[in-house]
Amino acid sequence: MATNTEKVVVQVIVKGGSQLDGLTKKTGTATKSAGSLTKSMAKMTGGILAASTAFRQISQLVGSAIKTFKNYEFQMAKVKAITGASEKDFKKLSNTAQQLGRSTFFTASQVAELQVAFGKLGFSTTEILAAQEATLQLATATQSDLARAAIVAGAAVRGFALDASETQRVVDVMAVAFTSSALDIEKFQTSMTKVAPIAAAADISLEATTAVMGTLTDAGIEASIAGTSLRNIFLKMQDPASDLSKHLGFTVNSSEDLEKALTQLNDEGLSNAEMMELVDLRQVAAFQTMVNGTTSILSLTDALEDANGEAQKMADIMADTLEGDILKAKSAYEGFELSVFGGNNKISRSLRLVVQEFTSFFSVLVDNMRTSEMLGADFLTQSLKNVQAMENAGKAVQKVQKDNNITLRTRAELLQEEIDKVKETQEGQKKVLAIQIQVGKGYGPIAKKARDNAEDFTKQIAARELALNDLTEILEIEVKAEKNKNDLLELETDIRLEKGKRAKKKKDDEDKKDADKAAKEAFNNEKTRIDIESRELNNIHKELLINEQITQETFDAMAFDAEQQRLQDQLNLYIKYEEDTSVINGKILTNELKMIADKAAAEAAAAQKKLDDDAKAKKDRDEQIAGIGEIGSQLTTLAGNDEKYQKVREAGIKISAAAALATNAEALALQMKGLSASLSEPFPLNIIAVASTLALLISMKQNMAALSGGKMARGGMIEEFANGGMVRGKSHAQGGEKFAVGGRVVELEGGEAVINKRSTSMFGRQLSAMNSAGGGVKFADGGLLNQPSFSQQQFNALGQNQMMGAMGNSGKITVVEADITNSQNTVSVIQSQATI
Amino acid sequence: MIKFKNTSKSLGKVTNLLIKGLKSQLRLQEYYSTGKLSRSFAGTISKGKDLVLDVTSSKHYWRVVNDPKVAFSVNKQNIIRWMNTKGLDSKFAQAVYNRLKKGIYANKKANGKQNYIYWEHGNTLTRSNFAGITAKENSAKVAQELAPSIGKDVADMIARQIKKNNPKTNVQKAF
Repeated sequence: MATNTEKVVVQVIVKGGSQLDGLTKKTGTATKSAGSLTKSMAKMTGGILAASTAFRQISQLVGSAIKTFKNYEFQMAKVKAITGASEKDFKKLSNTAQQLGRSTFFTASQVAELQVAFGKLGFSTTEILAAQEATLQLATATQSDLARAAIVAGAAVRGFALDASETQRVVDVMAVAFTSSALDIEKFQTSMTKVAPIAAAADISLEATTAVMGTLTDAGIEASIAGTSLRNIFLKMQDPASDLSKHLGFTVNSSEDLEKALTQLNDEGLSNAEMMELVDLRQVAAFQTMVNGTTSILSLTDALEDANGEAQKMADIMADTLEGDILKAKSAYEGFELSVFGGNNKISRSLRLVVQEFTSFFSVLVDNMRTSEMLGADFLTQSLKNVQAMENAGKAVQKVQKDNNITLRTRAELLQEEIDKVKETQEGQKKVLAIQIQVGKGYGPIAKKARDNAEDFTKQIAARELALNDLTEILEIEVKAEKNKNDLLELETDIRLEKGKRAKKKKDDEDKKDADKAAKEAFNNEKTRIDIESRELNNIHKELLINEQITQETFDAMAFDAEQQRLQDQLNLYIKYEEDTSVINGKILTNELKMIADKAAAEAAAAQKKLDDDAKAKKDRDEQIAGIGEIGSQLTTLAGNDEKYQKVREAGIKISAAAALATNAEALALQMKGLSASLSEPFPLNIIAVASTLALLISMKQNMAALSGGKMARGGMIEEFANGGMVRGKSHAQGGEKFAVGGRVVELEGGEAVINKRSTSMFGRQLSAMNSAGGGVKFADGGLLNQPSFSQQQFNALGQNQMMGAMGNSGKITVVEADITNSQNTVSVIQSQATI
Repeated sequence: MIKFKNTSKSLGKVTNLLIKGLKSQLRLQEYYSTGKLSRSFAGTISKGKDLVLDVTSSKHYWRVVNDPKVAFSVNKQNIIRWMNTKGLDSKFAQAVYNRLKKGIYANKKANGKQNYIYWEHGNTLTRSNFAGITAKENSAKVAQELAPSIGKDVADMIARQIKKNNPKTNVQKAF
């Protein structure tokens, strides 16, 4: 820098002496080799590179070589990345790329591109090595891009499920197809991507498929359409249900089948309409071309099958031209360039040394022009590199010793360490600077050197200071970042935990949901089972009922029990599955209540029915008793006082008494029933009740006396009336004389006469006349009926009807002995009922 | 010893580049009261073991700035020039000169030995490292300017070496 601060403002020093002196010597060695190289190169390339200057050769060589090597290295890096080849395999790939680059049209970089293309198709290193030479032939023969050739060949190999070693076959087929038909690599690629997998599945060979495709292309069908159509036709040929297969009578499952099918179809000479029935409308064109071109397909198939080494032959032809030579030369030159940078020979080393010296020279030049800031930036960069290196080293150690729990130092710690180191250096430099300043105060060259050094040190110290500041700032940022990272880590941990919890909860919920669902399903199944069983049981009960094996009541009881059992089962089920049992409990309770209510209703109805029956029976009995009583009265009346009919009269009396007794007995039963209740009543009600009962008992006694043989008749009137006779006693105006007849009261009056039945029968007309004469009515006019003493109601009994019937028919009342006997029987029956 | 023939030529261009940059920087910093410094920039190339380009400035200027003694010695012509520059009436130059000579403007506490006002004022000017800034700003351009030339010189050197080793080789100029 400035040697005279008063004068020099800016100084530019082109330091070249020492560095370039060394460079000159090395260049001398290099140029010695390069000279001979020039000669050999000139000879080899036919003068292309002749007449160049050595430096131009070198500079061009270096520049071009760098570029070539860079490209190649980049491609090979891609190959390594894509294929994932091991070091050994990668070396093989690299060597073959260089070897093929030197020996073919294509450069090593292009071969590397080919390897990349194969790698992308999933080819392994071995497969790439097996396929690449054939692909180069294809690219040479078809004048196509190498990478594309690789893609097409690779896709065909993969599409037809072939081994990579069969790439040569694929390439040969393609070469022949491209020269024998309108098919080219582009059309082949377009169509094969569509049809190859289907053809492979149908076991139709690459050759046959290519032949068909070539024929279709020859017919001008666009590759994409041809591919799609052929794919669909192949599919139809394989489908046993398709019209095409049905028409053929077989499915196409091999190349031979295809040949057979095409031949058959061709022989049939199908029309377009017929073809439309076999394939879709869109495939008709391709199908027709296939069928019509069967001959050419078969011959092309044969040609393709015979293709062996065709690609190589074509490539050789292509190579045997001036352009081929030039291309080969270019490739060879690139090979040379690669060998320079990739090799380790003398020329390589010398040339690389020259370049390195250049680099070093420019670096020195630039260093002298650097300011403190720039130097500081360099120091900073270096420090950061150191930190990174330490970090990487730590990671490498950790990676190697996976089992050991190695904790890496954080970047902040590494930075701090670097800062400490820089500070230490800084301190050392400062000490040295102090010495240099001291020495620089003197005179002479040493002092001058010391001053220069001091200046350099000052600059470096300033630069380091800047670097330190920057490093400190970076450290602070790093510390903050680590803190943030830790915070973030904690947050992430929390989030992860929370997520875990949520996931677990979700899983638990889902499990519970599933379990609930399963339980619900089981519950429903169980419930259905119970219902079905209950229904079946009910059906059995119904059947029993229909067959009258059980009564309706039994059926109802069984149905109730079954229903209750069903509900109980359901209740148990509900309890088991922890379902709400309130409804079931409610149903059970309701059923029980209903059952009790029904029972009560049934009992009430039965009680009511019994009451009704009793009332009806009582009524009937009363009527019967009344009828009997009436019969008794009538018998008594009819018998009158006639001795002849005394027995009839007695029977009538007895009948009347029996009827009265029956009435009284019933009344007594009711009275006694009421008496027991009345005794508890207060005085005088209880006395009245007892008195009325006593009166009833007395009446009954009288009747029973009458029934037992006439001893009970007190007024004698009854006895007399048994055979007829005069009534003695009160007149009607005075209340008349009342007789109990059949439970009813008959009122006569004193002075009236009772004529027995037989007499009435015998002297009815006379009696009627006599009655009429005395102010009564004639018997023929129903005088008996209209007698005021015999109200209509007194003849409502059974006897009345008989009497009415008798009177209505003949106008005579005739009672035969048999009637009496029957009446007596009836009385006996009634007596027995009354007793009961 | 390498001959920096092409590089020397390029250094001429670099000189102009740097002087232009220096002047521009001074103007940017408004450091051009008299223009003496700006006008004094010049480049000298010395060829020794290394090829050195020195962009120099007026020694006198820096003496005045840096040396109080020199600053204290009053030069009437300088005062007149300064007054003219500032648009002041130069007839008062003598009065200023006299007062300066008597040290009226000087600090008496410093026993009249301190710089006069011109210096004090100048000394308080905010000057940055205009040369350093210029160098930093132009370093890339300088490198860009010099690199081809250095390359040519090295190429020539190699060419000579080749010729020396292989006299029959037809060596052409590289550039």
